[in-house]
Amino acid sequence: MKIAILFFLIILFSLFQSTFLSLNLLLLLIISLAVYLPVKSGLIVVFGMGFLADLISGGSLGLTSLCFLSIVMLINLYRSRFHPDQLRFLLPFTFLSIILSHLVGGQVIEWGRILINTSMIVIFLPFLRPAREWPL
Amino acid sequence: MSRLGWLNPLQSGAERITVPIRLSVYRFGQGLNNGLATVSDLWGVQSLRRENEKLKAEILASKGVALRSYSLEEENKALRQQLEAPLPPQMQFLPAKTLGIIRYLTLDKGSSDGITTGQTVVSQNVLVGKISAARSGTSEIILPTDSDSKIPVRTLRTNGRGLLTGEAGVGAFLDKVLQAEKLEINDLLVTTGEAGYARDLMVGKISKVIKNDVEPFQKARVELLLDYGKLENVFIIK
Repeated sequence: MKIAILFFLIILFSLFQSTFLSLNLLLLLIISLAVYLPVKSGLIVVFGMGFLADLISGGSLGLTSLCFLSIVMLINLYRSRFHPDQLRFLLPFTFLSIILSHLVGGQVIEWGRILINTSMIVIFLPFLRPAREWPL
Repeated sequence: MSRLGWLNPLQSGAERITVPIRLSVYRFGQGLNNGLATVSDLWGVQSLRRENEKLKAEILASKGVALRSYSLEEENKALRQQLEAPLPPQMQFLPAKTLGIIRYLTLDKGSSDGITTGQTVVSQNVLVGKISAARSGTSEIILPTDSDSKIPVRTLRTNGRGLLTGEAGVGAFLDKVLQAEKLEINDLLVTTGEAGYARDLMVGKISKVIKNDVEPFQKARVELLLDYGKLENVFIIK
Protein backbone atom coordinates (compact mmCIF):
# COMPACT_ATOMS: atom_id res chain seq x y z
CA MET A 1 0.00 0.00 0.00
CA LYS A 2 2.77 2.40 0.99
CA ILE A 3 4.75 1.51 -2.14
CA ALA A 4 1.62 2.12 -4.24
CA ILE A 5 1.19 5.56 -2.68
CA LEU A 6 4.83 6.34 -3.35
CA PHE A 7 4.44 5.16 -6.95
CA PHE A 8 1.32 7.31 -7.34
CA LEU A 9 3.11 10.38 -5.92
CA ILE A 10 6.03 9.94 -8.33
CA ILE A 11 3.67 9.80 -11.31
CA LEU A 12 1.61 12.76 -10.08
CA PHE A 13 4.61 14.98 -9.35
CA SER A 14 6.29 14.06 -12.66
CA LEU A 15 3.13 14.97 -14.58
CA PHE A 16 2.72 18.29 -12.77
CA GLN A 17 6.40 19.21 -13.07
CA SER A 18 6.58 18.41 -16.78
CA THR A 19 3.50 20.51 -17.61
CA PHE A 20 2.85 23.57 -15.46
CA LEU A 21 4.36 23.30 -11.96
CA SER A 22 7.78 24.88 -11.53
CA LEU A 23 8.24 23.63 -7.93
CA ASN A 24 10.43 20.54 -7.67
CA LEU A 25 8.29 18.28 -5.49
CA LEU A 26 10.01 15.12 -6.74
CA LEU A 27 13.32 16.33 -5.39
CA LEU A 28 11.78 16.97 -1.97
CA LEU A 29 10.32 13.46 -2.04
CA ILE A 30 13.72 12.00 -2.91
CA ILE A 31 15.54 13.90 -0.18
CA SER A 32 12.95 12.91 2.42
CA LEU A 33 13.17 9.25 1.39
CA ALA A 34 16.96 9.28 1.34
CA VAL A 35 16.99 10.57 4.90
CA TYR A 36 15.05 7.57 6.21
CA LEU A 37 15.76 4.65 3.86
CA PRO A 38 18.83 2.38 4.26
CA VAL A 39 21.73 3.30 1.98
CA LYS A 40 21.59 0.44 -0.54
CA SER A 41 17.83 0.26 -1.01
CA GLY A 42 17.66 4.04 -1.01
CA LEU A 43 19.98 4.25 -4.03
CA ILE A 44 17.99 1.63 -5.95
CA VAL A 45 14.64 3.27 -5.17
CA VAL A 46 15.93 6.72 -6.11
CA PHE A 47 17.38 5.48 -9.40
CA GLY A 48 14.07 3.85 -10.29
CA MET A 49 12.14 6.98 -9.34
CA GLY A 50 14.36 9.14 -11.52
CA PHE A 51 14.00 6.79 -14.47
CA LEU A 52 10.22 6.72 -14.11
CA ALA A 53 10.13 10.52 -13.85
CA ASP A 54 12.12 10.80 -17.11
CA LEU A 55 9.78 8.36 -18.86
CA ILE A 56 6.72 10.33 -17.82
CA SER A 57 8.13 13.80 -18.46
CA GLY A 58 9.77 12.86 -21.78
CA GLY A 59 13.20 14.08 -20.73
CA SER A 60 16.55 12.41 -21.47
CA LEU A 61 16.32 8.98 -19.88
CA GLY A 62 18.69 8.66 -16.99
CA LEU A 63 19.45 12.35 -16.43
CA THR A 64 17.06 12.72 -13.51
CA SER A 65 18.27 9.39 -12.07
CA LEU A 66 21.85 10.63 -12.20
CA CYS A 67 20.91 13.89 -10.52
CA PHE A 68 18.94 12.14 -7.78
CA LEU A 69 21.65 9.54 -7.20
CA SER A 70 24.24 12.29 -6.74
CA ILE A 71 22.07 14.04 -4.17
CA VAL A 72 21.34 10.84 -2.25
CA MET A 73 24.99 9.84 -2.22
CA LEU A 74 25.85 13.23 -0.74
CA ILE A 75 23.25 12.72 1.99
CA ASN A 76 24.71 9.29 2.75
CA LEU A 77 28.21 10.74 2.80
CA TYR A 78 27.28 13.21 5.52
CA ARG A 79 25.12 10.78 7.48
CA SER A 80 27.98 10.01 9.85
CA ARG A 81 28.59 13.69 10.62
CA PHE A 82 25.05 15.03 10.76
CA HIS A 83 21.66 13.71 11.59
CA PRO A 84 20.25 14.13 8.08
CA ASP A 85 16.70 14.67 9.33
CA GLN A 86 17.74 17.76 11.31
CA LEU A 87 16.62 20.95 9.67
CA ARG A 88 19.92 22.77 10.25
CA PHE A 89 21.50 20.31 7.82
CA LEU A 90 18.49 19.55 5.66
CA LEU A 91 17.34 23.07 4.81
CA PRO A 92 20.63 24.34 3.34
CA PHE A 93 21.16 20.98 1.64
CA THR A 94 17.70 21.12 0.05
CA PHE A 95 18.31 24.71 -0.99
CA LEU A 96 21.57 23.80 -2.75
CA SER A 97 20.01 20.68 -4.32
CA ILE A 98 17.19 22.72 -5.82
CA ILE A 99 19.65 25.24 -7.26
CA LEU A 100 21.69 22.35 -8.69
CA SER A 101 18.58 20.82 -10.30
CA HIS A 102 17.70 24.20 -11.81
CA LEU A 103 21.21 24.56 -13.28
CA VAL A 104 21.18 21.00 -14.68
CA GLY A 105 17.70 21.50 -16.13
CA GLY A 106 18.55 24.94 -17.53
CA GLN A 107 15.73 26.56 -15.60
CA VAL A 108 15.61 30.19 -14.55
CA ILE A 109 16.71 30.74 -10.94
CA GLU A 110 13.98 32.66 -9.13
CA TRP A 111 15.09 33.04 -5.54
CA GLY A 112 11.61 33.52 -4.10
CA ARG A 113 10.33 30.34 -5.69
CA ILE A 114 13.43 28.41 -4.63
CA LEU A 115 12.97 29.50 -1.01
CA ILE A 116 9.32 28.42 -1.07
CA ASN A 117 10.34 25.11 -2.64
CA THR A 118 13.03 24.60 0.02
CA SER A 119 10.71 25.31 2.93
CA MET A 120 8.26 22.65 1.66
CA ILE A 121 10.68 19.91 2.81
CA VAL A 122 9.26 20.54 6.29
CA ILE A 123 5.90 19.19 5.05
CA PHE A 124 7.36 16.06 3.46
CA LEU A 125 9.55 14.89 6.35
CA PRO A 126 6.89 13.90 8.90
CA PHE A 127 4.97 11.89 6.28
CA LEU A 128 8.02 9.93 5.25
CA ARG A 129 9.43 9.21 8.72
CA PRO A 130 7.72 5.77 8.67
CA ALA A 131 9.85 4.89 5.61
CA ARG A 132 12.38 3.57 8.14
CA GLU A 133 10.16 0.50 8.53
CA TRP A 134 9.26 0.01 4.89
CA PRO A 135 10.19 -3.36 3.33
CA LEU A 136 12.58 -1.96 0.72
CA MET B 1 22.42 5.12 -23.92
CA SER B 2 19.68 7.68 -24.45
CA ARG B 3 21.92 9.72 -26.76
CA LEU B 4 22.78 6.61 -28.80
CA GLY B 5 19.10 5.94 -29.29
CA TRP B 6 19.10 2.54 -27.57
CA LEU B 7 16.23 3.56 -25.34
CA ASN B 8 14.11 5.14 -28.11
CA PRO B 9 11.58 2.25 -28.29
CA LEU B 10 11.00 2.53 -24.55
CA GLN B 11 10.71 6.31 -24.77
CA SER B 12 8.30 6.16 -27.76
CA GLY B 13 6.12 3.65 -25.97
CA ALA B 14 6.04 5.79 -22.85
CA GLU B 15 5.19 8.89 -24.92
CA ARG B 16 2.20 7.17 -26.50
CA ILE B 17 0.76 6.64 -23.04
CA THR B 18 1.85 9.85 -21.31
CA VAL B 19 1.16 12.47 -24.03
CA PRO B 20 -2.68 12.38 -23.70
CA ILE B 21 -2.34 12.45 -19.90
CA ARG B 22 0.11 15.36 -19.99
CA LEU B 23 -2.25 17.23 -22.34
CA SER B 24 -5.12 16.90 -19.84
CA VAL B 25 -2.91 17.85 -16.89
CA TYR B 26 -1.56 20.92 -18.73
CA ARG B 27 -5.08 22.09 -19.68
CA PHE B 28 -6.03 21.67 -16.02
CA GLY B 29 -3.00 23.77 -15.06
CA GLN B 30 -3.89 26.46 -17.61
CA GLY B 31 -7.47 26.50 -16.30
CA LEU B 32 -6.11 26.91 -12.78
CA ASN B 33 -3.93 29.84 -13.82
CA ASN B 34 -6.85 31.46 -15.67
CA GLY B 35 -9.06 30.93 -12.63
CA LEU B 36 -6.49 32.57 -10.36
CA ALA B 37 -6.20 35.45 -12.82
CA THR B 38 -10.01 35.83 -12.75
CA VAL B 39 -10.00 35.89 -8.94
CA SER B 40 -7.37 38.59 -8.89
CA ASP B 41 -9.42 40.40 -11.57
CA LEU B 42 -12.29 40.53 -9.09
CA TRP B 43 -9.96 42.32 -6.73
CA GLY B 44 -9.14 44.79 -9.53
CA VAL B 45 -5.45 43.88 -9.44
CA GLN B 46 -5.23 42.68 -13.05
CA SER B 47 -7.22 45.42 -14.81
CA LEU B 48 -3.96 46.66 -16.30
CA ARG B 49 -3.33 43.20 -17.76
CA ARG B 50 -6.77 43.20 -19.39
CA GLU B 51 -6.09 46.61 -20.89
CA ASN B 52 -2.75 45.35 -22.11
CA GLU B 53 -4.38 42.32 -23.75
CA LYS B 54 -6.93 44.63 -25.40
CA LEU B 55 -4.19 46.86 -26.79
CA LYS B 56 -2.28 43.85 -28.12
CA ALA B 57 -5.46 42.65 -29.86
CA GLU B 58 -6.00 46.07 -31.43
CA ILE B 59 -2.45 46.13 -32.78
CA LEU B 60 -2.77 42.68 -34.34
CA ALA B 61 -6.27 43.42 -35.66
CA SER B 62 -4.92 46.46 -37.47
CA LYS B 63 -2.45 44.16 -39.28
CA GLY B 64 -5.23 41.78 -40.33
CA VAL B 65 -4.82 39.31 -37.46
CA ALA B 66 -6.85 38.99 -34.28
CA LEU B 67 -5.12 37.66 -31.16
CA ARG B 68 -7.43 35.14 -29.54
CA SER B 69 -7.19 32.49 -26.98
CA TYR B 70 -8.55 29.20 -28.15
CA SER B 71 -10.53 26.52 -26.38
CA LEU B 72 -10.38 22.89 -27.42
CA GLU B 73 -13.73 23.35 -29.23
CA GLU B 74 -12.21 26.18 -31.30
CA GLU B 75 -9.40 24.10 -32.79
CA ASN B 76 -11.08 24.16 -36.20
CA LYS B 77 -11.37 27.92 -35.95
CA ALA B 78 -7.63 28.06 -35.21
CA LEU B 79 -6.95 26.02 -38.33
CA ARG B 80 -9.14 28.27 -40.48
CA GLN B 81 -7.48 31.39 -39.13
CA GLN B 82 -4.02 29.97 -39.71
CA LEU B 83 -4.96 29.37 -43.34
CA GLU B 84 -6.24 32.96 -43.62
CA ALA B 85 -3.16 34.47 -41.96
CA PRO B 86 -1.16 36.75 -44.29
CA LEU B 87 1.70 34.32 -44.85
CA PRO B 88 3.17 33.06 -48.16
CA PRO B 89 0.73 30.55 -49.71
CA GLN B 90 3.46 28.00 -50.34
CA MET B 91 4.02 27.53 -46.58
CA GLN B 92 2.72 24.28 -45.18
CA PHE B 93 1.68 23.97 -41.56
CA LEU B 94 1.40 21.11 -39.15
CA PRO B 95 -0.96 21.77 -36.20
CA ALA B 96 0.22 20.79 -32.75
CA LYS B 97 -1.08 21.04 -29.20
CA THR B 98 0.94 22.36 -26.30
CA LEU B 99 1.73 19.87 -23.54
CA GLY B 100 3.55 22.00 -21.00
CA ILE B 101 5.89 24.87 -20.39
CA ILE B 102 8.76 24.84 -17.95
CA ARG B 103 11.80 26.24 -19.70
CA TYR B 104 10.76 25.07 -23.17
CA LEU B 105 7.26 24.77 -24.61
CA THR B 106 6.49 21.11 -25.28
CA LEU B 107 4.33 19.99 -28.22
CA ASP B 108 2.51 16.74 -28.92
CA LYS B 109 4.20 16.22 -32.29
CA GLY B 110 7.68 14.78 -32.80
CA SER B 111 10.06 13.19 -35.29
CA SER B 112 7.51 10.50 -36.16
CA ASP B 113 5.30 13.33 -37.51
CA GLY B 114 8.13 14.78 -39.60
CA ILE B 115 9.28 17.38 -37.07
CA THR B 116 12.98 18.28 -37.12
CA THR B 117 15.05 20.69 -35.06
CA GLY B 118 15.18 24.21 -36.43
CA GLN B 119 11.61 24.37 -37.75
CA THR B 120 9.73 27.59 -37.00
CA VAL B 121 6.56 27.49 -34.92
CA VAL B 122 3.85 30.12 -35.28
CA SER B 123 0.42 31.10 -34.03
CA GLN B 124 -1.26 32.79 -37.04
CA ASN B 125 1.53 35.11 -38.18
CA VAL B 126 3.12 35.59 -34.77
CA LEU B 127 6.34 33.78 -33.97
CA VAL B 128 6.15 31.29 -31.11
CA GLY B 129 9.70 29.96 -31.40
CA LYS B 130 11.90 27.32 -33.01
CA ILE B 131 12.03 23.56 -32.49
CA SER B 132 15.07 22.89 -30.30
CA ALA B 133 14.60 19.17 -29.70
CA ALA B 134 12.43 16.55 -31.41
CA ARG B 135 11.77 13.16 -29.83
CA SER B 136 9.61 10.47 -31.33
CA GLY B 137 6.22 11.77 -30.17
CA THR B 138 6.99 15.17 -28.64
CA SER B 139 9.16 18.18 -29.36
CA GLU B 140 10.36 21.27 -27.54
CA ILE B 141 10.32 24.88 -28.65
CA ILE B 142 12.89 27.44 -27.58
CA LEU B 143 10.92 30.61 -26.88
CA PRO B 144 12.01 34.19 -27.62
CA THR B 145 12.26 34.74 -23.84
CA ASP B 146 14.93 32.04 -23.45
CA SER B 147 18.45 33.28 -22.65
CA ASP B 148 19.82 31.18 -25.52
CA SER B 149 17.38 32.66 -28.02
CA LYS B 150 18.72 35.25 -30.46
CA ILE B 151 16.35 36.20 -33.27
CA PRO B 152 17.32 38.63 -36.07
CA VAL B 153 14.44 41.12 -36.36
CA ARG B 154 13.66 44.44 -38.02
CA THR B 155 11.25 47.23 -37.24
CA LEU B 156 8.25 47.30 -39.54
CA ARG B 157 8.26 51.10 -39.70
CA THR B 158 11.90 51.93 -40.53
CA ASN B 159 13.44 48.52 -41.34
CA GLY B 160 16.01 49.05 -38.59
CA ARG B 161 17.74 45.76 -37.79
CA GLY B 162 18.61 44.25 -34.46
CA LEU B 163 18.85 41.05 -32.45
CA LEU B 164 15.98 40.01 -30.19
CA THR B 165 17.58 38.40 -27.15
CA GLY B 166 15.74 36.45 -24.50
CA GLU B 167 16.02 37.40 -20.85
CA ALA B 168 16.03 34.45 -18.44
CA GLY B 169 12.58 33.27 -19.49
CA VAL B 170 10.75 36.39 -18.35
CA GLY B 171 11.11 38.81 -21.26
CA ALA B 172 13.18 39.94 -24.21
CA PHE B 173 15.11 42.96 -25.34
CA LEU B 174 16.31 44.25 -28.69
CA ASP B 175 20.06 44.55 -28.95
CA LYS B 176 22.71 45.41 -31.56
CA VAL B 177 20.70 48.22 -33.12
CA LEU B 178 22.84 50.90 -34.74
CA GLN B 179 22.72 54.32 -33.07
CA ALA B 180 21.64 55.87 -36.37
CA GLU B 181 18.36 53.89 -36.34
CA LYS B 182 15.30 55.73 -35.05
CA LEU B 183 13.50 53.48 -32.59
CA GLU B 184 10.14 54.54 -31.18
CA ILE B 185 7.85 53.08 -28.57
CA ASN B 186 5.21 50.77 -30.11
CA ASP B 187 7.37 50.00 -33.17
CA LEU B 188 6.43 46.51 -34.33
CA LEU B 189 9.21 43.95 -34.75
CA VAL B 190 9.18 41.21 -37.38
CA THR B 191 11.65 38.44 -38.26
CA THR B 192 14.11 39.10 -41.06
CA GLY B 193 14.22 35.49 -42.24
CA GLU B 194 17.78 34.88 -40.99
CA ALA B 195 19.04 32.29 -38.46
CA GLY B 196 16.55 29.71 -39.68
CA TYR B 197 13.40 31.66 -38.80
CA ALA B 198 10.72 32.21 -41.44
CA ARG B 199 10.48 35.75 -42.71
CA ASP B 200 8.06 38.55 -41.68
CA LEU B 201 6.63 36.90 -38.59
CA MET B 202 5.54 39.35 -35.92
CA VAL B 203 7.32 39.02 -32.61
CA GLY B 204 6.68 42.02 -30.38
CA LYS B 205 6.69 45.77 -30.01
CA ILE B 206 9.12 48.18 -28.42
CA SER B 207 8.07 49.32 -24.95
CA LYS B 208 11.15 51.33 -23.96
CA VAL B 209 14.19 52.62 -25.86
CA ILE B 210 17.54 52.44 -24.04
CA LYS B 211 20.00 54.74 -25.76
CA ASN B 212 23.50 55.58 -24.56
CA ASP B 213 25.48 57.75 -26.97
CA VAL B 214 28.87 56.41 -25.83
CA GLU B 215 27.98 52.85 -26.84
CA PRO B 216 28.09 51.66 -30.46
CA PHE B 217 24.62 50.11 -30.29
CA GLN B 218 21.30 51.05 -28.72
CA LYS B 219 18.88 48.69 -27.04
CA ALA B 220 15.16 48.50 -26.41
CA ARG B 221 12.88 46.61 -24.10
CA VAL B 222 10.39 44.51 -26.05
CA GLU B 223 6.88 43.52 -25.16
CA LEU B 224 6.09 40.18 -26.77
CA LEU B 225 2.76 39.67 -28.50
CA LEU B 226 1.96 36.25 -27.10
CA ASP B 227 1.47 34.80 -23.63
CA TYR B 228 3.17 31.46 -24.27
CA GLY B 229 1.65 29.87 -21.19
CA LYS B 230 -1.86 30.36 -22.62
CA LEU B 231 -1.21 28.84 -26.03
CA GLU B 232 -3.17 25.67 -26.74
CA ASN B 233 -2.76 25.24 -30.50
CA VAL B 234 0.27 26.21 -32.55
CA PHE B 235 1.47 25.48 -36.09
CA ILE B 236 4.83 24.19 -37.21
CA ILE B 237 6.05 25.44 -40.59
CA LYS B 238 7.14 22.38 -42.54
